[in-house]
Amino acid sequence: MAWKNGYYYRQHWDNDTCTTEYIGAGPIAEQIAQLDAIERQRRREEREALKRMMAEQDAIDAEIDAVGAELGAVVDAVLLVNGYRQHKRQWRKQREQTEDGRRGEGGN
Amino acid sequence: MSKQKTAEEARVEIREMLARVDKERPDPAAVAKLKQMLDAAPSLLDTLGNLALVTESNLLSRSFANANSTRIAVTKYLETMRDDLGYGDADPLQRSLIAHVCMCWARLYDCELRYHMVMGESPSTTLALYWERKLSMNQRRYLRACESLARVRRLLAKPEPKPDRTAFNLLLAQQIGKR
Repeated sequence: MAWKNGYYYRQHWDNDTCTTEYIGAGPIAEQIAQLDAIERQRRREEREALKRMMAEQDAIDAEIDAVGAELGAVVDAVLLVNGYRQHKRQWRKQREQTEDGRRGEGGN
Repeated sequence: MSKQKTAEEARVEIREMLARVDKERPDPAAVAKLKQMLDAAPSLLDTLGNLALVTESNLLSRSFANANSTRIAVTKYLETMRDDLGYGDADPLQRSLIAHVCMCWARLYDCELRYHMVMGESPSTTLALYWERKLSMNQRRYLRACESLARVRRLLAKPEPKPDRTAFNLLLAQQIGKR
């Protein structure tokens, strides 16, 4: 939105092209400019509210994910000490290796 | 405060230890040390379980800040849900996982409510996509939490004692002998 030589213009983007639209001059153009300024302010506030809301929601999810990650680490630890190993994202009971190198019992 | 710090330190240590143990052929000494660490930090699981409950409470307070009745109803429902999942009789690890499942469910429920509210108001593409993403992310998280609980229950379940059939076999042998 701009004033040039006492004339008011609107600029907007149409498919990657910036288009300038002549509005007019005088008191009516001034009132249109004021209305445009109010509309711009409203949209800015809306964008900021949206950003705030998104940040708040993302913070909630981050908090839950943090608890989930801690729990995941502890679950992994407990399964490992109970003789399980992860094979291609699957938990499997590790077979015990005997002294002569043969596989003992414990596999599934 | 010091208890929390200890739990936090234990978590860091466990993560480091996991990296050493989670191998094709882990060092038995490292496995033994990990076991010792888990035994030495019994408060860790309780802390995690409590953390899940605190996060759940925070989530409800924020999500239903202006709807006390809904918050109370959801809190009550979550209590019932925890009981249905066997929270009372579970070991500390399962209790933490149950608390996590319930928390994930509460978040999913919250997201679904918001998604439907937003979609009913002809939202912008950005907002619609944002809530679509949030909803699928929370559905995945809830599913993962359920799978994790199910996995622990399946893998760490104590094997049921096999019935002693010696007496039955002896009786059967005697019967066959009589014939």
